[in-house]
Amino acid sequence: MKVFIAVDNNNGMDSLVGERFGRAGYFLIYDTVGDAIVSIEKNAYQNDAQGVGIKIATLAVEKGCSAAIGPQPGPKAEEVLANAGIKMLIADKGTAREAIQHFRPQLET
Amino acid sequence: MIIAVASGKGGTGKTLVTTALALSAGECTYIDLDVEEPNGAIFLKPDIREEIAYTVPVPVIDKDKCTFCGACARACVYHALVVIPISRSTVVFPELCHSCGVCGFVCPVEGAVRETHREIGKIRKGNRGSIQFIEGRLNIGQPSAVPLISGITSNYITGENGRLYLLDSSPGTACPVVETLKNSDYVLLVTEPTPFGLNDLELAVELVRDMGKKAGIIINKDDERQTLIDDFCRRVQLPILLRIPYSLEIQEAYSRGIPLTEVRPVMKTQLKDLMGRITDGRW
Ligand code: SF4
Ligand code: SF4
Repeated sequence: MKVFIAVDNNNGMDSLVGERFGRAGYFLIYDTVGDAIVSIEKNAYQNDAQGVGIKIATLAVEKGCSAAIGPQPGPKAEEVLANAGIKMLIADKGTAREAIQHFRPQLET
Repeated sequence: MIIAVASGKGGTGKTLVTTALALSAGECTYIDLDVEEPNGAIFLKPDIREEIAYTVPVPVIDKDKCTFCGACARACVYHALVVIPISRSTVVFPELCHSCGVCGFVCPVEGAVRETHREIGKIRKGNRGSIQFIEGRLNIGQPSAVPLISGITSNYITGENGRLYLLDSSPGTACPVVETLKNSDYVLLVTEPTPFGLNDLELAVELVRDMGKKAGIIINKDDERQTLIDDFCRRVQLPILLRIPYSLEIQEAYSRGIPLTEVRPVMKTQLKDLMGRITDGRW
């Protein structure tokens, strides 16, 4: 399963989980099957005035993710994720590695 | 003739002035375009004859016809639409939609994008004697007053020859004000002789000048000892058309919804004269 993680810096699995979902600095996509990072990319929408949450949630959909980890998203992003069947797992501290370990049971499907 | 009454900030007496103008004019159309907080009716006490729900079109996507190609979502610059192919679903955020129609235009499938209507506010119409009264009232939680304002001005300002329209604008200098002033021939700016009043007036004058509108100033709560508005008007060469004296009696009447023309009947002549000069192009 591919997991979409909102992080604040680009430091592999040691990247810190972002403080805000839509405005996180980077997005890390992790594959739980191969236990490897698929990609880390900069949040191109970080400074957009509007629609950030929607754009990020759409990105998670486009990347084919089945779960997302990060702080509580806004209602619009949440609605998009829910409609796409992407499981939202709330975390706002620790590293990407710790988050994956912590949520491992929920990611085993 | 379309006269808009605006002010850089709220609470300067904009509605006090507009309603007094309407009551002095005789035959006219008063339109309350301060749609987030319309209060002209408090002073004019019109008989409301009609209430219309004002709606804007928003798309609905027919899931049986849609191929989930995503063309509509990519074309929507307001991000009001999301298409999710994996779950064969779509999400529309009506409050983000600007009713531009692009989604329906780009959709390759006939009938996949349909239109529905979303109410954003109410328009109330009525009369007070020879004054035709129109008011816009934005529903709570609507992000923008602009569509309602443009809907009212485009439907009800018919440009009938010689008819006087008085537009009570929202305060400030943001989009709703621009939308209101856009349709006017002349702008009356109401201000108070205080440093705050001056500051907001400066912004309002800048806006009016940018829009290329003719304008004049009305000083409310005038105090002869305070000349800062006079000095400013001299500098930017704008005429001061009227001074409403600072008076507890007027203030008190205002708080009870009594129009200026009832507390100071003599002002009727002054206000009528003022409108006459504007209409004749003398100001
Ligand atoms: S009408 Fe325009 S703004 Fe509304 S959803 Fe369609 S493309 Fe977006
Ligand atoms: S453009 Fe038409 S067919 Fe394509 S996703 Fe949008 S509504 Fe569906």
